[in-house]
Amino acid sequence: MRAFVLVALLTTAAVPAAAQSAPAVGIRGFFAFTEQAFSAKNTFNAVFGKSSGEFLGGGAQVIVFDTFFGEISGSQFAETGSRVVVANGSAFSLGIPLKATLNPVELTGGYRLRLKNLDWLRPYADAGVGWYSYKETCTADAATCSAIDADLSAKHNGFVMHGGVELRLHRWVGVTADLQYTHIPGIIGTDGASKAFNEQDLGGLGGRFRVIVGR
Amino acid sequence: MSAPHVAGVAAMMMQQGIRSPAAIEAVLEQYAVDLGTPGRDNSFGFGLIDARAALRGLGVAR
Repeated sequence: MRAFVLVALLTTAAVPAAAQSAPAVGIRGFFAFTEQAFSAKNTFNAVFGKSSGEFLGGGAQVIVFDTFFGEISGSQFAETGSRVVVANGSAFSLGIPLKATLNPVELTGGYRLRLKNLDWLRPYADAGVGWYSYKETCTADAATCSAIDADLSAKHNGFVMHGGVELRLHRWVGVTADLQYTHIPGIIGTDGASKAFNEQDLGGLGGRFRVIVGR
Repeated sequence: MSAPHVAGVAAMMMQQGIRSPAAIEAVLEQYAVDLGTPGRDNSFGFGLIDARAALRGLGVAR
C-alpha cells in the first residue's frame, strides 16, 4: 500500500512533456542502492547466513540525443560472517569472524525508449563490463588471524546488464528502478566454501534503485 | 598412536561448535594430507591429520 501511494505521488508529480526539452548531450549524476541475490547462494548462506546483500554507490551518466547513454558507476558491498567447515554438503560455523567487501566499477552503454504521451516514463536497457575487486579479511584477534593466515584480495573482470524504467519527478531530478544481472567469474570457486559448493560466480540478480540528478 | 591425536582434534572441533560425529569425521578426512597410495589405503588410512587446516575453516574464496 505504501509503495502504491509512493508511485501515485511520483506519477502525479511528474513534469509535463513540454517542460522536458532535453539537450543534445546531457551529463547526470546518480546515487544507487542495489539489493542483490548472489548466484553463489550456498556459499553466502554458509558464511554470512544469507544469500543476498546490499550495494551502495553512485556514478555519472552521459546521454546523447535523449536516447543513447553511457554510464560509469562505483559501489560497495560489505558483510561480516564467520568461517565455516563444509562436510557432506552442510556448513558448520567455526566462530572465526571475517569481513568481505566487493567493490565493482562498471562501464555500460544503453538505449532509452521514448513512449508516446508518456515522456515522464523512460524504459531503458544497458549492458557493459565491470572491474570487480574482492577482499576477505579476518576480523578475529591478531593471534587467531595470524595463525590461520586467510586474508585474500582478488580482482577480475565481469559482465553487467540492466533493464528498467526512469521516472522524472522534476526537471532536474528523476528516479529509476531496474533489474540488474552480473556475472563475475575468476574470483571464487578455486578455494574456500565456494569450492566446496562448486560455485564460481560472484555475481547475481538484483534490484537497483537510483536517484538521478540532472536532465 | 594416531587415535589420541585424532581424538584431540575432534575435541577441538567440538569446542568450536561442531557436534555431529559424522561432520567431525568428514572434516578430519577432508583435510587430512594424503599419504601413500592416493586416497584411502590400509597403511595410512586417509593420511596425516591436519589440525590447523581443519580448524582454520573456509571463507568465501579462501
